[in-house]
Amino acid sequence: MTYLSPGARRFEQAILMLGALTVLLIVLLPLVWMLFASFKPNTELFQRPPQFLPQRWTLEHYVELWNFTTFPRYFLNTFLVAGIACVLGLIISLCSVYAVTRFQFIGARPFTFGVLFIYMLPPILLALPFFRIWFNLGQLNSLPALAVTYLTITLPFSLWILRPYIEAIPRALEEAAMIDGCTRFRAFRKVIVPQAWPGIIATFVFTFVVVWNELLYSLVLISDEPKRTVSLGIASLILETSVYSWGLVNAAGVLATVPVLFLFALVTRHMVAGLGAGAVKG
Amino acid sequence: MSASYRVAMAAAESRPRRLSRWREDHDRFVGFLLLMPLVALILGLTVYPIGQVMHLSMQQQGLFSTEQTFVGLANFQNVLEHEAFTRSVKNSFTFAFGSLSLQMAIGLAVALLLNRQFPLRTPIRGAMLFSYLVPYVVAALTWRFMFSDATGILNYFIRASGLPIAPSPFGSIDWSMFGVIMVNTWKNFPFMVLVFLAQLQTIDQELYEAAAVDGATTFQQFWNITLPSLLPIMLVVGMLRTIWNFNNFEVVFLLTQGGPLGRTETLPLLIYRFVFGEFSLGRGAALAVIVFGILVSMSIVYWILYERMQDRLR
Repeated sequence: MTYLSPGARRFEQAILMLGALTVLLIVLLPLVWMLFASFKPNTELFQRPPQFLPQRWTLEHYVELWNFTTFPRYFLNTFLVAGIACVLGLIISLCSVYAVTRFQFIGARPFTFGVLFIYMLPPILLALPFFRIWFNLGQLNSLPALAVTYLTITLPFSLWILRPYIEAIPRALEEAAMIDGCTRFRAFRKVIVPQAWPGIIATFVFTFVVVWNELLYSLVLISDEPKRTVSLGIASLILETSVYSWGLVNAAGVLATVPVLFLFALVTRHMVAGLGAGAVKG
Repeated sequence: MSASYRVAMAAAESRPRRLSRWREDHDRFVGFLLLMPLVALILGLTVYPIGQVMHLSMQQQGLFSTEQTFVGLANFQNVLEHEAFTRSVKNSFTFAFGSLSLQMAIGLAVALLLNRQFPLRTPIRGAMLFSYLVPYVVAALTWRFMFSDATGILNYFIRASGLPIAPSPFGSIDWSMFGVIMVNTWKNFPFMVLVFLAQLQTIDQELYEAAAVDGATTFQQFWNITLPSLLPIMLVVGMLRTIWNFNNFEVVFLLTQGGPLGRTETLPLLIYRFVFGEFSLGRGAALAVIVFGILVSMSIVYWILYERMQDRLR
């Protein structure tokens, strides 16, 4: 490596940091702008030239959103749908990854990992038949049906993230438990699940965020106003009304972003805890 | 304890411990049961719907009707001759590859930057992901807000500075495609940064030191060490992102809805218009099958490139 004097080194570091901060600014400014706008009274939203910070901070848009729109309901719907889709996807993929890594079935491996192929499919290609299927079953506008549809997203995702976690668990660990008299199921519950816990949490967070952010399926399958998801609610605000209240839209956007960032902050901490380290010795 | 007892114990312990025959068979059955839900769901959630699309593509059928008439390949012919088809194919490729090249270039530059040592690197790396994490609706709303005529800050600055850019690009014939590509790049380049950074960290630092000793310039080091080690992953994420960009519905739908005058109408939007705007399920399904074919061919091209490169690196 080249050797720089301390002064030159410090200068170089300052330049690097400046560059990184510039990129960061481009990433964050639109979001920060949305955040501040959500606290501005309507008069300030239309003020020219626009001011960066609100001069008078107000919660009126949040109050309006909470009291006079259906948004609280949208949040509940989304939590419900995402929760069901993620937990179901997680349980099913946990079982399948376990089965595939512990037993030999002909074609099981290519099948399970061929599921990743779903990723390549255009969502609109699947949305179309799903519309027909749920229409034929009389399940359009049904949140459980939407949750089942979201399994097409959560399943491949969960399989993909969980696999390395399960594969890393030594077989000796559960075999020891089984020789000590555990049934396969008990060994699974007492050995595999705790060992894979960081992976399970990570999977849940990732799939939850993906479903939380999803728009197309709910756009196609849900038309009843009280059954909308958050994404669909915001999309309708943007698209259906030509003169929308920007304060309200921005407040909704901020609230839709908070759970996502919160969950990711949570998972970074969990990933650090290397739970399985040192469980098998010698 | 007697010596013979100890020997017997040792012999018993050295015998391979295994489960009884019955338990093994029973075990395999359990494994089979564990796999069943996935098999059932994949069949129900992908194989059947894809079959449905293929079937629908050869029927004439309204969105909410139950009457079907078999029309053979008429839908395909109909789609291929539709005035919007060629334009949408062109738009889709412009959108997918325009976004891809920007995401790649910016992603690579930022990854190289973040791979260096400087104060506050870790929090900056974390916060860099924010635009990738937020929902598409949020990305769309904030950019629309910033470019909106009455309230937008960027709109205001463009007008005030007199730059030759449309103050509201999403409504402009010339600038709308640029606008959607820009937002898609802003939203997704952090994914590239993430992948490239992970790969950069696997490069052996001694290579650079050896190159520096031999008098290689920084650019030569980049060209001969960094780039070759990044190439395989670049092709892989390149393929993934091409497909995801190609499939992307949200960005364009939320920003321009394909307008103005179809300037940003990509293939997923055209499918959506056929089905939910013109209520023609058959035509939408036929176009979906065509899009699927395009995607498969693109994947094959990438796959061949990847194999070739692997051979050359070997």
